[in-house]
Amino acid sequence: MTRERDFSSRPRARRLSRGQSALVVAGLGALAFAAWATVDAWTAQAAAAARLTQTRRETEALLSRVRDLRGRGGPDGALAARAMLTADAAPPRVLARLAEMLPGDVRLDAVSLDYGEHVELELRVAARSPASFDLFVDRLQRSPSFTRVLTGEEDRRGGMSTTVRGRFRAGGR
Amino acid sequence: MTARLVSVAPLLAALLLYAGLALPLRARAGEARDAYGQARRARQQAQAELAPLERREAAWRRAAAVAAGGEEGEPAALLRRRVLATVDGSSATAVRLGVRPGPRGPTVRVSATAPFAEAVRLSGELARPGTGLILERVELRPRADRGHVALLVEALALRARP
Repeated sequence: MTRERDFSSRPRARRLSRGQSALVVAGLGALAFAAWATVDAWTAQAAAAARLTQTRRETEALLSRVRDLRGRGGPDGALAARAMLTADAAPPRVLARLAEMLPGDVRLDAVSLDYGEHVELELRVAARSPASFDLFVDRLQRSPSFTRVLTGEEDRRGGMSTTVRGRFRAGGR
Repeated sequence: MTARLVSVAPLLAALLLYAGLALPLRARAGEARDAYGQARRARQQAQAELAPLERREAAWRRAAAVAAGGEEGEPAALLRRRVLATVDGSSATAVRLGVRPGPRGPTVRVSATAPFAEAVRLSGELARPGTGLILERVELRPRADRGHVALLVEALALRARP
């Protein structure tokens, strides 16, 4: 089989040089990378937007519930707070927490608990020495279970008996 | 000339695609992630605000459920029966009990004498959800008889809603 020579005047397609071919290959690689990067960014953007929408929807539902419960107000709201404190700050629980704070030579002579928006305490305390009393007050003031701890008038000559007022924090442990 | 154009076309297309689509989309994904972080913090804050309110609501419902517990009779009489059942189950002595009707429900005032531990236990029994009581005031005062204390409990019971 002999090969015929082409003597026609039709222009022949020019072949790409090596450098140009390399450029095409590199360009196709870059195009593939750009396509992958686009799809990846699109997916990430769509996922983040979906999470954002979902979270905003959940937050709005929570805030709506907060508004609803806060809107109750009035005597119902105050009673609901007291109902919660009756369960969360029942007398045995408050007294147990107080007992943990008492040094050996300090005793509670009387305790009263008033339930409102908070549990207000009034303690009649007897201590053998001012140092023991100070230790008890210091423990109360440092404890997360008690706030606004204030002492009454103190006669610090030897054994002492005085009043301590404070507020119990149901969740403060 | 054509060969040159053909050889750089894929590279140009890649640049256009990357700069025109991938980069803006990536920037938008970053913004959405930042906004998601903020939204998540807002959600946590809302949850923290809601938690105590939900606990109040649950406690209120428990107390109201006792009031609407299906027992027949006057609310004050029902409350008296419930409190008596609790006090009778204790070893407290010198029990005094007063139940009065009130605008939001009957109120009760119980005083008794008991050893300290028993007085504390009784105050806890009166405060437990099953009684439907909402505490107003609790007092423990020393008594002359050694080891005993005087307990006073004032509380309110919700009135069942029609």
